Amino acid sequence: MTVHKSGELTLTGTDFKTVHRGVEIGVKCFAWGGGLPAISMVERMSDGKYQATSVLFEFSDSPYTPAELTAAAGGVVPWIKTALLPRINAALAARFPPEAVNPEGGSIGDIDAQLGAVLRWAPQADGTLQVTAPPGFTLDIHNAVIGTGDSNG
Amino acid sequence: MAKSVHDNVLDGALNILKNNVTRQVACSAQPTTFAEGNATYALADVTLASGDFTLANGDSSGRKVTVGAKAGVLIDVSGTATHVALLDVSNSLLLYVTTCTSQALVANGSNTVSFPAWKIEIADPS
Repeated sequence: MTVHKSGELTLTGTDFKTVHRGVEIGVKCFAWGGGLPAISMVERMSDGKYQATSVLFEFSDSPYTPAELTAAAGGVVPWIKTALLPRINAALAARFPPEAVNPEGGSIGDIDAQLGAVLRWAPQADGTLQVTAPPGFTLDIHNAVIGTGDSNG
Repeated sequence: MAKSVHDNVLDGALNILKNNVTRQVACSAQPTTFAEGNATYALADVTLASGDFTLANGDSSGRKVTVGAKAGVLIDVSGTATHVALLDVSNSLLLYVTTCTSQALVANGSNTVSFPAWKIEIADPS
């Protein structure tokens, strides 16, 4: 991972990046103000410029050098997987919280109307609500009688 | 002059259902073909076997077959159930369709619907 100065912050084709819900997101290691490097989540803003939106890992918080840290994990890739990836996912979850999905593609009113139908809410002693088992639906099937009445008047 | 029919005649028709229906489907519209009942309008389906059908004397006259209740059937597709179809899957036949009171079904991966017992009766000739 290349260490950049904050002034040259950008995402290139070789950087780790992705497009999340229409927003270009990347993870980049660069030095804030020329100090010790930090790994940050980078986001492309509406003006086309990149900004670091959250710090994922600050090497200055560790008594070890980056080389020592990654070596202890078995290498750079294992360290990314075990130490960094959970932080990336946590940052993504905070930046892009799950959205309610309306399968009908309708308005928020449709979602609101379905909340009671899809979920059951149980008030708890502490004042919170807890989602309980989803309700089941029951059909009212109409019986059929064939051949009532006089067949030929 | 009185008209009559032997139970075997009526049971012959009802046994077609008992011996061939393998799937019951809640549908969002009236299916007129097997494909419509099995897929196009299908919201939830449950497997049936001959043991789910019970023949007996009709409530008013003739003979009836009662389709046993099926509870906890997973809802596959959201929609409003208006019809229930009985299918012969092996032969791709739509054997019977009845109506049901409109019921909104919401699929979320775990929601279920219950099919209560219902019956088809063939009355004696009158």
